[in-house]
Amino acid sequence: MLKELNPLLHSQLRLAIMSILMNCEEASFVYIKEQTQATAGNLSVQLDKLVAAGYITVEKKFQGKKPLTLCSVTDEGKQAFEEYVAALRGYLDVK
Amino acid sequence: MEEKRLNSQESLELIARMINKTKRQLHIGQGNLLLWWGYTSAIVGLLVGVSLLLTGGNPACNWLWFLIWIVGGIGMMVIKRKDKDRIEKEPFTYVDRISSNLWGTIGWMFALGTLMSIGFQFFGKDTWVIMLVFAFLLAGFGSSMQGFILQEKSMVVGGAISLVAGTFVLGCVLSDTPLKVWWVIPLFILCFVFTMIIPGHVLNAKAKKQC
Repeated sequence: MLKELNPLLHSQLRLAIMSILMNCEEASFVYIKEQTQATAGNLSVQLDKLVAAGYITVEKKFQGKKPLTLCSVTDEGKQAFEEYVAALRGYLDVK
Repeated sequence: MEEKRLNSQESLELIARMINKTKRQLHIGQGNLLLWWGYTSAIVGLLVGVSLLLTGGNPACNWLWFLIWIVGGIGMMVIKRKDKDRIEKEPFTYVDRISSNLWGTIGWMFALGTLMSIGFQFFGKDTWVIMLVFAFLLAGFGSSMQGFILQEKSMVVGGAISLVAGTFVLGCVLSDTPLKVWWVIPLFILCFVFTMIIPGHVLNAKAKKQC
């Protein structure tokens, strides 16, 4: 029986965010916004959802006088992402 | 990008696309730190060599080696400060973390070697050679490892040359073969040309081409 896809990850923007963060240790809000071409508001909302699920952490700090928001994936997020990809492979019958 | 639900195929394509976008790329000035440390070490090496030759081998000239720490350290801080803005524009990857930890560890080991060397001076032992051997071996090891991480052949080869040279110098020390200024200093300079200066220019040229 096919495993159900994690609804939290099965949305375009949240999946894009997780894919970026899985491939690096940390990325800034600005960078994720550029790569996903999402609006700042929408991105913030989706990041909050991922934080609430414990999939990512968001660290807000200052670099000089400029605010800097850095996001990174948690172990829980990594596991959820890997399970999601495994489930996808099952759907598509990819080995 | 909107919050739309995807089918399985679209999800996989999106993951692949995002991973591709975040693939590690060289950035402009990637080789600047290598160049700074490389040129500083080579020039200071030359300065020490010339001083030793002019003073008939006065061991006090060896204190000039500390210029590498002073000039190199100040330059590194300036380059890193300039590089700070990059974190907003580019992701910090695992490769960045490994590289940073690698050179950090090498820096600490070299600092330890320097302190040991200074400590022995107070007991009347001329142990400058420890620093020299450390420089050959640590710079070579660091460069080779970094080369493997970045898949940069010039660094792997340059590092290997320095490791061979360092092992040779260590062999000379252990076998009480005298280290003569006329060959040790040029070997030191040559090693830094191979481990840092050439790879630094290669990385900068590749980054320029890529960006």
